[in-house]
Parts: sequence; structure tokens; C-alpha cells
Amino acid sequence: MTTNPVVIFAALLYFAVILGIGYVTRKASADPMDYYVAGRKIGPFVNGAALAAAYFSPASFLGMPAFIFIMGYPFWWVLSSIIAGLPLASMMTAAPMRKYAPVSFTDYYADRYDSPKVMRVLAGIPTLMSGWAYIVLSTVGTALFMTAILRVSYPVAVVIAAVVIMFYVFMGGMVATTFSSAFQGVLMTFASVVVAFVVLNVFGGFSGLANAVYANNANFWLMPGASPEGLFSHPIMGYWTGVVGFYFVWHFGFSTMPYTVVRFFTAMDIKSARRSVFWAVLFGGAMYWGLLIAGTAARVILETMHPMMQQGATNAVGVLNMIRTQLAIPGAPITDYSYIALVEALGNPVILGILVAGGLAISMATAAAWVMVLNVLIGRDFMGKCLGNVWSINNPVKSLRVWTVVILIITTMFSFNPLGLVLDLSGWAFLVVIVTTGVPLVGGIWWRRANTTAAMATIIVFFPLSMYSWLYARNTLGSPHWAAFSRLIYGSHEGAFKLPTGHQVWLIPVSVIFFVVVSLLTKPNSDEVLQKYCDDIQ
Amino acid sequence: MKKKGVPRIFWYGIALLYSYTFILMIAEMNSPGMTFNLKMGGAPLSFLYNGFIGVFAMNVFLAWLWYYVPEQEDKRAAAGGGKDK
Repeated sequence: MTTNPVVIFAALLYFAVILGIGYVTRKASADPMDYYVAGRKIGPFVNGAALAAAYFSPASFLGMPAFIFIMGYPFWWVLSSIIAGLPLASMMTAAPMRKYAPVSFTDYYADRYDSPKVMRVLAGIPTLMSGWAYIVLSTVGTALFMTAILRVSYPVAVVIAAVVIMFYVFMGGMVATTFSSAFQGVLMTFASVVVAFVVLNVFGGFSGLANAVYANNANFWLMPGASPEGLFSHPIMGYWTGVVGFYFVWHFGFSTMPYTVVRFFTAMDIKSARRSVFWAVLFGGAMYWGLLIAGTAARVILETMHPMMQQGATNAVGVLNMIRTQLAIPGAPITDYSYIALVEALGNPVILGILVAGGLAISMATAAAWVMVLNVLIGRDFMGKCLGNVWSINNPVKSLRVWTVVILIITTMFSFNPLGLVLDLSGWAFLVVIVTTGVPLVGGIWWRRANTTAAMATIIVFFPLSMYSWLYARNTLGSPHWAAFSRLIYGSHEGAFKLPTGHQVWLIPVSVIFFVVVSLLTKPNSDEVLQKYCDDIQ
Repeated sequence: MKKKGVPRIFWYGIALLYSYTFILMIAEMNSPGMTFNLKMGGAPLSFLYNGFIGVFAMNVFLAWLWYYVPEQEDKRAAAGGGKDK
């Protein structure tokens, strides 16, 4: 299969704009505050578009349509919950964090919990793990778009992705990341919405799409418990905890994930921080509406329009298997190709060109945002604040640049031949941040009783517990979406019930309860600290 | 002087969001065929209440509400004559 020149042009144009932003913003290296937090001069529209682009990763662009493809209608509620999680941040963290105005994600933990070194290291551990998983996932996602649509060989695509991200983050730090992400945010939204309208046009509107999906697979529309015959859209959506659990998996992420929280530091004032959330919802919501339509239509379109149905595939899964065999991208599950395969089946090179630009945009924005979190974490916090390394303290921008290169070399190595586990880990990588650093972040802002012991204990307990639960469920129960404690309650005999709770989401309320109980049982922080880092920033 | 703590408008918005979501979810789980058979203009109503309002419109409204109300309160507080919160 050859690549249409229109598609190649769209990709080249995208890369030209991104590299141009990197070059133009290179002067940010003259001032460390520009390099760290874009001088805190970013307005709400640009910051909001950048927030959306950073927060939504290939796990959204490829993963959400794939989840709907697999789990059917009940997963629509998950898309709704993810976007509903965005406005929560405007009060929970955006305004307080901008008022506090730190430089790094770990600054708040060091100050609020009155522990300049230990809390920085503890908060940094889940951040490092999560960042590593997300950068690998995003690099693989960028390469997947290049390989699947532009037919570039996978290793070459990985190198191109890493080099381009390295170039603009290295040159302009947070300034380059902000403006490139804003551009990427607009692009990914445009791509998703255009694809959705083309899909609706193919079916003649919502009713045509709904009827075609029903004719293809009537179980698609089943909510748990809604079928008198006990049918369901997918075993994990066969019980109400599947839908409700998945609803909360990603719901609190926007308020607590390091790569979104740092973007509140870049806003020009508190008002801009709140308003930037509004723009992020506008972009993210429109994009997710498009992904919802595409995911709903994917199976029908693949089975009725994809050329591979004429070449031996008997159903949509067969088409995706053939694509995977053809591309041989290590680690990526077949369903990750569903969105790309859908657009391929539409047979329109312009739409495919728009999709490749949107796909590259969403993947690279997330990787770059995480690189900025990690280079500040290692180059400033660990090297300078914790270890007192004089060179890092005296050369803040150089230190961040060195770590940008190191981080991207390491993650690129993992991206060449990623295990399926590494890509799957993005689910855990998200949860671990919420249950370890997320709870002390929100608790520290809004609850005077939250204290250092509870913050430390929550991170120390829930980091290994979440990893163990997630891996146990994945490897022993067959999916990370079955509750790890299912066998304790329902037994391990053949056919025993397993409780569906997406990505071990039950750990979120458990970590909140744990944090509250430990806080109540141990000594509170000093009044001076509470005044400064709790009362004054509310 | 502004009162401390989570602003009241946050809880109003939360109540709206979760009651809307969970009432509809419970209705869907207990009404066989609701997601596909309940229609408006020939298309399943779920495209409107979940696909559009749930994913987009409700959240845009909340994002607006949660910046507009605090801004008005900040203005009143700055003017010195407004209500707390």
C-alpha cells in the first residue's frame, strides 16, 4: 500500500510548524523562569488548548475508540466522566496552585508537608514511574501513526518522534512546549471532529449510525442489568460496578496529574488558570464527542468498508489482526489500530492526512509535557534541592537540557521494542499518581488536618499496593479490570464471579480513607505552614 | 475578607453533575432497551443526553460556572461590599 502525497504533505506541514515553534522560542533559555514555567505569562486560550493536548494522550485518541469498539455503549459514560473531571480542577487545584505559584510539581509537597527533601523524593517516585510509562506510550503512539499511515518503518518512526520532541523541548523548554501543545490541541480536536462528521455522513446521521450498529451487534447497546436474558456488551460491563468503576478511573486525573498541574503554574494569573480549564473542556469535550462517534462506528465500518474484508478477513477483529501482522509494531494491542483502520476504510486521503496530523499532535504533546515535568523533577529538584549539586543550581537551564536528552534517550530505548506490559501500564501509571500524590495534593490544599505523616504513609503504602493489585489482576485474573480481591470474596473455583472495577479504581476511595485516618491519628503541621500553604491559597 | 474552604458553588455543580449522571445510568440499567429504543427524531436519545450533554455541554457549563461565579465573588470582595463566598 502506498501513501497518498496529501497525507505526506499534512505530516510534513505538522512537523514544520512544531520545529518552527521550537526554533522561535529558543530565547526562553535566557531566563530560567521562562524555561520552567513560561514566565507565568500564558493566557487562558493558549493555556487551555495546551492543557487539553498535554492531558489527552494516545491512550485517548487510540484507546477510547478501541474501548468503545470492545465494550460498547456503557463505555460512553467513561468518556463523559473523563471530560467531567476537567472542570473539577478549576476549583480543586487550578486556582490554588496558581496562587501558590511554584516551579515544580514537588514544591507543594515539600512546603505544605514541611519536608524539603524527603517529601520531594517520595512525591517524585510515582511521578517518575508514571512519566516513564507515559513517555514510552506516547512515543510508541507517535510512531504508530507514522508507521500505520505514512508507512515509515517503526524504528525510524520512533527516532523521528524522539528527535522532534527533544528538539523543541531542548530549545524552548516550557515556552516551546506551551505553544506547540496549544497548536497540537487545536489540531487534534479538529481531526477528531472532522472524522466524526464524515462518519455520520456515511450513515446519513445519528439514526443511520445507531441502526447500523444495532444490526451489526445488538448487544453493543446493553447497559449492565438491562437485558432480561442476562446478556451484556462485554463481560466487564456485565455488572454495574464495571460502568461505575470505569466512570471514576480517569475522573480525578486532570486535577492531580503532574503534567496538567504544572500547566496551572504557567497561567498569567488565577483568573487565567480557571479560564484555561474552560478552554480545555471546550477542546477536550469536542474531541471526545468525535472519538465517541468513531468508536461507535468502528466495527461496522471495518466490516463493511475496509478493503481487507475482500482479502480474507471475516470480521473487524480479523481486519485489525491483518493490519497488526502487516505493520508488526511490537506490544501494541490490535484494538489500537481500530481508529486508524476506520479512517483508512473511509478511503479519503484528506481525512487520513488530518488524522495523521491530529494523531501526531496528541501523542507528542503528552510526551513533551511529561518530559518537562521530569526534567524539572530530576534536573532541579533531585539534583539541586535534594543533592545540592552546585552545577545544577548554577546552571538551571543547562541542567534541564541535559536531563531532557537523557530522559528521551532512555524512553526511546524502551520504545523500540516495548513489551505489551509497558503499554498496558499506562492504566496503572494513571491510577498510581491519583492514589499516592493526588490525595495529599488535594487534601493538603483543602483540609488543615492533612499532615506529613499521612502524606508519606499514603505514598509509601499505595505505590506498591497499587502496582501489586494491578499486576495480580492482570496476570492472575486475566485483566487489570477485575478487582484484585475478587478471589478472596467469591472464591477461585471455575466460573467464580469476578468483580469488575476498571484499573483497580477501588484503590482511590481506600487511599482517601487511609489518608484521613492517618491524618487524624497523627500530629498536624505547624500553624505557620497551614496558614501559608493551606489557608492562604484557598 | 473571603471565607475559606471549598466554595459553595462547587458543591452545587457537583450535585448537578453526579445526579444527572447517576439518575440516567440507573434508569438505563433498569429499563431494557432504553439506550437504543428511546428515540428523538429517529435517533437514540442517548446520543443527546450522554453523547452530547454528558460528554460536552454539561462540562462546558460547569467549567463556565466554576470560573464565572468565583470571578464575580472576587469582584465583590475587591469592592468590599459583597457577601462572603
